[in-house]
Amino acid sequence: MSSLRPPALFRIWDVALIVLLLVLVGLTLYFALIPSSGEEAEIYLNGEKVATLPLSVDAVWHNEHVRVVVSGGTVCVSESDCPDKVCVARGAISRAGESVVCLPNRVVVVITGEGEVEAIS
Amino acid sequence: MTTKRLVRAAILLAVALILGFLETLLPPVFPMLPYARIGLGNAAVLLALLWLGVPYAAVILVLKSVVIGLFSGAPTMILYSLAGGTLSFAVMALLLRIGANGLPAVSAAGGILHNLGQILVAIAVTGTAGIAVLLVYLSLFGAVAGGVIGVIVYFVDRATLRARKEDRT
Repeated sequence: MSSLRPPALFRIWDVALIVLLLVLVGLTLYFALIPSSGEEAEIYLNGEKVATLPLSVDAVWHNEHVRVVVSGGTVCVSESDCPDKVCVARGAISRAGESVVCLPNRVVVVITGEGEVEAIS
Repeated sequence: MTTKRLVRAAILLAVALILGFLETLLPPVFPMLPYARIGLGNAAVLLALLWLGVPYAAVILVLKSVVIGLFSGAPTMILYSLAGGTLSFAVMALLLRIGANGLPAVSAAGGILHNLGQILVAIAVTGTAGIAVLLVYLSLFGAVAGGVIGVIVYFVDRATLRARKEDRT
């Protein structure tokens, strides 16, 4: 095509193009991920729902084995008397669909809300 | 001259189909990202853009997406492939027309937008905005793969320059 400039490996405008693309991807991520942070943490004991805590309000739920802490929009199992401490090591979760499980104490914490990623992946 | 262009378009389509189909047979580059593909077939589409112009290249792009979707036994992929392909094609054609960018950058832009288009379709189909998390990895991968393909296309274009010049009448 005679209307096209001959191809080059690099032109100075490439820098601007890359910056523009980074911004575009960043914006898409930003808008797509806003609604996917979770809204409520549901706590299950022996498979039965025993508590529903909104992530927007700091709160603590505990029984004789575990302590579940909601803080700053995240939830974690802060203390547990189980031997492996997998639930404590899981750390804080905040996105819809994420969960913390303590098998020995049969406690499950699940975050509900829009866009539950792990439900489909 | 028209016959020559037609033959070239046919050869480029054949190359696009073979490369694209071979790629569906290979295992994914990253096992955790099964949708991240190098997009070898896009090298042929980019060459078609350079040599034959937008109409020929557009036909090659559409046929490539549809035929590979049917051949590889995953016709639902056609929707994703066409969405990503069209977005990436439009931007690459525009950038080539503007002529301010090097081929690898144009191709990398195409790669990123291909993934962006596919993710947008996936979000629309599944109604799950959270899939956009994948964009972090897919954009990076698309940029690198697109850049590599841009370099390949640049050297293919240079190597065939003399042969193509002699063809001109």
